[in-house]
Amino acid sequence: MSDPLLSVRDLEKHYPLTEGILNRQVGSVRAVDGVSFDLAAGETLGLVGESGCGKSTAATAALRLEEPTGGTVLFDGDDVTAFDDSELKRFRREAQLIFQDPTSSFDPRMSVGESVTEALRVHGISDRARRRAVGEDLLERVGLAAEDYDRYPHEFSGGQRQRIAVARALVVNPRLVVADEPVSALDVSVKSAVLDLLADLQAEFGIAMVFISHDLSVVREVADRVAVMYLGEIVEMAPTERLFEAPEHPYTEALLSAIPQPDPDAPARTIQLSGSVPSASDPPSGCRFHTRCPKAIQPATVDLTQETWRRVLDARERIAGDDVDVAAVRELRAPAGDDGTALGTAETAAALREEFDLPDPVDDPAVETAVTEALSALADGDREGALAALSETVTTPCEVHEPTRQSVAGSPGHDVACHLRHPPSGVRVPDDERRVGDADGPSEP
Amino acid sequence: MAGDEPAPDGGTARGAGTGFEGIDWTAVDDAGSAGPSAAVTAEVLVLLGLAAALVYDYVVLANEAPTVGVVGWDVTGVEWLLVVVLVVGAFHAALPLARNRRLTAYYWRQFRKNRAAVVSLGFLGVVFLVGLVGPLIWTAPNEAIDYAAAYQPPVFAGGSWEHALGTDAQGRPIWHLIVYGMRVSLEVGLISMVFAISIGTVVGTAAAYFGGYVDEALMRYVDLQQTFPVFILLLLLIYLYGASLLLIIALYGLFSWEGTARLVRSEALQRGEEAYVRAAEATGAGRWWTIRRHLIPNVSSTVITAATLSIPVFILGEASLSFLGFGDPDVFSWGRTISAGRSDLPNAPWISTIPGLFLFLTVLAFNFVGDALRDAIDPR
Amino acid sequence: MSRHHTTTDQTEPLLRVTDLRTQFRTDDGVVRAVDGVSFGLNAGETVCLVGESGSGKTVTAESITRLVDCPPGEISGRIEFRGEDLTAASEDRLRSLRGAEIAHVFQNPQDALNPVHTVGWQVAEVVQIHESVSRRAARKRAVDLLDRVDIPDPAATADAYPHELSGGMKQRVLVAVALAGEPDLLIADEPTTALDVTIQAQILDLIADLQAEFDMAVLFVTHDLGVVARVADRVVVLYAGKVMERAPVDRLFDAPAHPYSRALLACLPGRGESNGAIPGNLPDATDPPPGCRFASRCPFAVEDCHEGDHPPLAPVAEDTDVEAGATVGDPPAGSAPLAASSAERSASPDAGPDREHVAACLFHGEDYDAAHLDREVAWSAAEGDHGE
Repeated sequence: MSDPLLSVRDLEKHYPLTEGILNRQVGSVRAVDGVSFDLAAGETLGLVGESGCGKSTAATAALRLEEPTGGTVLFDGDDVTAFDDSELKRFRREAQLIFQDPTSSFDPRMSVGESVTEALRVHGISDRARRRAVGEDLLERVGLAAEDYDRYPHEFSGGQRQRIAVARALVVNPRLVVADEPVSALDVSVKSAVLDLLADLQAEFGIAMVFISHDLSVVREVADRVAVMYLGEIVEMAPTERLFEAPEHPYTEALLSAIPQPDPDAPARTIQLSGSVPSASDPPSGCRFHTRCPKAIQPATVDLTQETWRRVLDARERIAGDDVDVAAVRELRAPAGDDGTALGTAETAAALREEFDLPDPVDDPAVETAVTEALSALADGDREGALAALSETVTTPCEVHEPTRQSVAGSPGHDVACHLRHPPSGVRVPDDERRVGDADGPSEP
Repeated sequence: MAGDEPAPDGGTARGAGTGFEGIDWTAVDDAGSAGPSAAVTAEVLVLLGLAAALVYDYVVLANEAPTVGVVGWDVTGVEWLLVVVLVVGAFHAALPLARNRRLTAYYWRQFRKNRAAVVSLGFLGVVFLVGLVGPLIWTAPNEAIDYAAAYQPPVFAGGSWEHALGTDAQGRPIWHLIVYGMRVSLEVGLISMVFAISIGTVVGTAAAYFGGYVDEALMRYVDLQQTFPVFILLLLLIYLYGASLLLIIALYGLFSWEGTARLVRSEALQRGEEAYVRAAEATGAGRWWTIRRHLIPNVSSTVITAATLSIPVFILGEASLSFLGFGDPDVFSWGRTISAGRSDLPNAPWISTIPGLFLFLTVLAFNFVGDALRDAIDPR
Repeated sequence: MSRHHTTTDQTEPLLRVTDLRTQFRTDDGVVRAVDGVSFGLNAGETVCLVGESGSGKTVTAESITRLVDCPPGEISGRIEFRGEDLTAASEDRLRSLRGAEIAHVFQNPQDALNPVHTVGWQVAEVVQIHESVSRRAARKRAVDLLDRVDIPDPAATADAYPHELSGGMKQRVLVAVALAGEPDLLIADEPTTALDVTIQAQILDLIADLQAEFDMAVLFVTHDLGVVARVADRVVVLYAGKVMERAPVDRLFDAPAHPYSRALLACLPGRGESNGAIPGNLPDATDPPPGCRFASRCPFAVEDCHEGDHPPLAPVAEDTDVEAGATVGDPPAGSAPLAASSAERSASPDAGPDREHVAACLFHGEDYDAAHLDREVAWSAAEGDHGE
């Protein structure tokens, strides 16, 4: 690949968390925490992830619509983070943004023509007639009529408004367009028309695009490559078909399995993720996904089914997060009419075991000992003791080592940040998950 | 920098003429920015002319001599301010409405749905026109004193057509008193409103956009002003310097913008979060651009409604002051006429009630119009 | 042809909506949001109302327990819930039904919870509305319900305020609220649209589990055909306030009959020869043109489609198998095995699924040949000519 048009390295955007009247900083929300990617001219990169994973922030920080707190962004070789005001203004002409909501992204008091050509005016074209000519031409090119120039946003449907949004982004002839969920608010019947329009114009003018979406099926349609984000980091990046056919990261797998298939006969094979997305102000150590990962690696000493192992880890997460109210569990599991205060340690521990959905006993003797001890401690109200009991055996290498994104052998352009693929030394990967070095996955034709 | 080569995909992109890809950005950058638009130039020139007239009146002419001899117009403080307000209104309300016909038509369609408001608007239009040009047509009440014609009832109560609305104790035609009262109401309502709303909007937008300490300082001042007893200050000033219409207008204009400022601030804070503001910033628009072209126009529905509803408050306020005898003794405010007719209520009730009716209708009409405007100009 | 049109009437459906019309009087005229919609829902079954924005699917769902504001809304037609006509029911009667026997779950969990009360309080409140129990017992029930909807540490969560919960958790709380009255019918209006895919999958599974557990019927409103495929037993396709097609879910996906349903399915990524978008716009809801509502956008439309009333729902012959891309020429032979299998299914012991498949399209009526619809048509060439 020749020099990329956009090259993002270790991009960070941390929002300070402040407290008190003196605005003392007590921490930070790491919305984007070390994101790197390249984008070639004319290429489309899909950026996917759940809400709150930082995908939109990554894009706005890369365009310096929000000041990044770290990292570099090179646009055509120039460092965007070092631009002064006039350079930045010129950069705005090169890189444009399309917003998600076609309703709120237009000023209701401006005619759509004025909105579309506003950028021309901002950038110094004061000739009204010329702006109108450009605007009318552009409206026609996106599938509307020149007469629409004087109409107001409320007179258009959502799909039409999004076409106008495309026109607005194109008016300065940019080389890069960041489209932030451009079709999420649209009906299926107009979605693909807007996507087609984007693709056509992109091809015609050689525009590079960052396409942000939570909808993987849409991304599959438009993107050349896809980057999957989780908690402010890119966990996997691959050519689109490759990612959909042979995802490497367990998070990507879970995400893909969750897409409802428009086929009633398709087996529901959803991979359930436990827990919820952790807070970005205090991301988990090691691999950030380890708190929810269904494939979290077991230490060499443990031999459990993956499902049980996950439950044990979940129980530990909840105890660690002080996310379990022992009195309430007692009350809930107690027979009707009894508030459970009379329950002894053993009964409470059993109730807790039920609450955590753990088998009795857990198959692995060492883990069982630790679990029994921890539940008893917890039943006696000793949370620290419970954690200490678990700390010895119930640990996963995933929380110790921080994975880095490394290329996947035999799959060009495919990187993944997962210990299953690139195990740190001394970590045993179960055979059925062993992917190292094999000519894995459904083979490509 | 990349902008030096405007069309990287050169071959296909050039030659379209009107197409966006045909714009030669290097040339645009070199051309620099154009001057202000014709409308702005015209407004500045007219206002400068008015300022010159004021200076001319004060510095050159004797106190009582008319400034523009032909129409016998003597620039006084209040009237000069009224002209300024009308000029500003023409450039910032009438001109944009005439330019954006589509939007104007849309507003009108929405406004028209409220019948009472349409009738009210018609009534206010008449009040505005008569108040503006009436004093040029009908003589001032004091020049029409005719004791022989005192206490004539209106035509519907057995009076003559010569004085259709009757006369007062000094034989002044009630109609003349009404017309001059309209002028007073117009002056009080419009001038105070423009002052209060302008200050309120500027303070509110500034507080919202700059935030931080600016916001804190401005809003705490607003709190302070809200607790300030303006009425007592007014009485004090009247006691010290004597009552004058200018004083009343100035106090209303300068001390009643807190509500507007609060309203505009909260509205602007909300609008500032809208995607179209971010969209403008993403095209490279600076702060002032965003404030002027997006923030202020979009808080205008709030502002216009607040403005319309503040006018009747000012008019009523002035009428009350005049009724209580704190009004300007040189002007024929409705409140003063009502007050003067009090003692004649049993035998000549029309002296108080007819101006009272006009006052009532005017205030009511403003409220109707204000409510309808709120519904009409709030874009969906 | 009508021999497949044997609606399984052995049991009265839980909910039967007949010719439902919901109109709104506005300044611009009467908006006919729902214009003659009929469908039935059996106990324990899931029916999806599917359509795009403006199709009237939400208004249909909200008309059932009269959640639409009346006025300006006006509801007519029959809505029979266990044989009782809800259109004639008093407001008091409806209030006692809502939540108790018919529960709602809405799209936006943010707006549906009161920010000043704890979620446990809100669930307990609903419990107390429906049962006269002490506050303590209501709270215990609330915690039970929160546990039922798989909220971890339900007792602690009961003391949380809505803003402390994630979107998925809030939606779970709302499902718990809906379950408080142990309803027989759950009306879920786009319950997962505002959620991420992973959370959506969890909520869909949860609703399915609870449905089995409580033997609830679910009326599921959605625009997402992926969700439809996953949850529905039967589907009602709505367009511009009219029913376009009613079909068992497998039939809708394997052999969509109405051109609109076909177009909608063709819009899905990765399905068939992607025709992309449907050109044109929804017809004006205040003054719809005569004939089929979809005619102006339909590539197959013939003159008759633009005249008269909206076409009546006609049974769809099972022999037009679209997925195979070919039309089976001889109906009797081709349909025999399919008919047999469907008969078999309805004869199966524990379920009598309604196999009715009808479409409001002239081509499925008596005068036209449905095979005409299997021609490949470029959607841009929207002037259809009359088939042979």
